[in-house]
Amino acid sequence: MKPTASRQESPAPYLWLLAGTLLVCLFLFNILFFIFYRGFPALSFDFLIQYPTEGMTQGGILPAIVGTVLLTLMTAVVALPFGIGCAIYLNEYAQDTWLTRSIRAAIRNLAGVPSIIFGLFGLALFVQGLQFGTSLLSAGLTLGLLSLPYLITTTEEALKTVPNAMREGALALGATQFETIRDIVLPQAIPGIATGTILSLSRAAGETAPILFTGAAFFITDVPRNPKEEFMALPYHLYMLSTQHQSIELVRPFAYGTAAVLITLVFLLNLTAIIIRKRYRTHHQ
Amino acid sequence: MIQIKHLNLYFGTKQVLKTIDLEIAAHKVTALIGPSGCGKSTLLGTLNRMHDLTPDVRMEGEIRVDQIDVLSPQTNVHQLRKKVGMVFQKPNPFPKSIYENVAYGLKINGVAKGEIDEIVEDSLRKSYLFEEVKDKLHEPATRLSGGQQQRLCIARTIAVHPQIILMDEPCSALDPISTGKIEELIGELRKDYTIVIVTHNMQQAIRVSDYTVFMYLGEVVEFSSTEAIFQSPTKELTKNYVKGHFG
Repeated sequence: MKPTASRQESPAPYLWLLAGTLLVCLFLFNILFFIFYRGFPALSFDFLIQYPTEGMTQGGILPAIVGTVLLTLMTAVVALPFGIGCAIYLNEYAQDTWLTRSIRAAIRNLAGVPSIIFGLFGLALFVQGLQFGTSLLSAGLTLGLLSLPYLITTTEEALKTVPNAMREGALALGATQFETIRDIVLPQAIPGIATGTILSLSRAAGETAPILFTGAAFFITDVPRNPKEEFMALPYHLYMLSTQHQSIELVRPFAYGTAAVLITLVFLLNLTAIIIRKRYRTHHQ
Repeated sequence: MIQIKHLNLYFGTKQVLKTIDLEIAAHKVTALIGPSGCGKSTLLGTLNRMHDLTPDVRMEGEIRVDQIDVLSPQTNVHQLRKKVGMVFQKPNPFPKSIYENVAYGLKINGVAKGEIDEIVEDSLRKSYLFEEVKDKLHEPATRLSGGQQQRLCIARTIAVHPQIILMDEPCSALDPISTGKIEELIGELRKDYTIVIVTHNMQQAIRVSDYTVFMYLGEVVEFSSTEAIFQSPTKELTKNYVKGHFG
């Protein structure tokens, strides 16, 4: 049979997909270029290691960097045990009942709740209800809750990639279900879990709304020394410099500099995820 | 060795095994044959309670392995599975080293560290694998060929000293040469273990087994010595199946 003209591969779909991809990349690079270009005058080593002075028109953003790092750690401490535990329960232990189906639906819906709502909830429960005050602890707990749905979903996906034949193999040797999960399932799911963890943490690190009422401060002269203290954070600092400062024009380069630092931190986190995944892959095959 | 009395098994409302009565002899190879969906793999899985993992399974009747009441909820299923090992259809080595694969069952059973090396080597020898892997014990098991992986899974199973080995179509994913090696291995293992093997391949049943169970639609049609089943079956259904008229 002769191939007819209509059976030839048309280039149109390919070109359309390519155009879409290029458009996305274009916007991304545009944003990155703009931020780094405008923030460049402010960026220096001193900017990273100095406290802000002269009503934040001089000096650096050290407390905000330290605050964001501590806040992310606090978020991890809160979210990891519950998130990974919940995913293991749902994927390994739970039967398919109306209860687990409604838990899954709740998790999916929680992922769609606007972050400002988490902020209000954190204010009501942690700041006021549990009397933690506006603090690193309250903000970390709030961001921890915000990260949970992403963490649970990605961990469950990672556990699902472990073939059932592996579980059967271990159980057939007399392993308990706990031993099977600990020795066989989790080690295989670690790259996926690590990636999901870091991506949800890097998302939490950039959030402003949930920490607005729960612990982030406008300006503090020191880094927090214990979890009950308030802190400065990069996204909130950025928000404040660009909308709340008395001389916005003067601090504009500082705002872009802060944005550049925040983006770099998030990028470094994501890079860690990529490295972990790569190392595990080469290690295990 | 294994006694099955009036065993019924249901997946949901569907009855998959119908009043099975069988007595499986020690230190013999018993083959389960029959067309797809006849319940032979399901029957195999009842012997080490693999169906605990499947939701909506209901069983009636009694299975005894060496006086252990297999189906009783009081029975320690982990102890049972150490006694009744299983080799699966597709080789399923853990993504760990060859050594770790065999050692895993020993570690979870609390075998002393000093003894593990010896048992690992011994199990690999008994599975005809040691000579092929002795220089790469710490390489990933996933790099082995399919046939080697299946022999590794057998080594992993015999390392925990079971009395019974269940094999669920252990050669169906393998090439003829690997299949030949596994069959040879089964011939050797029958000296020390009671083996129950599910197979699709009637020639394989003839080559490796002492007894054959022919199943059809969830029932045992005929159970006899392998020779009798293939040479002089008493039931018409068995005759048609072993002559290749259906299946």
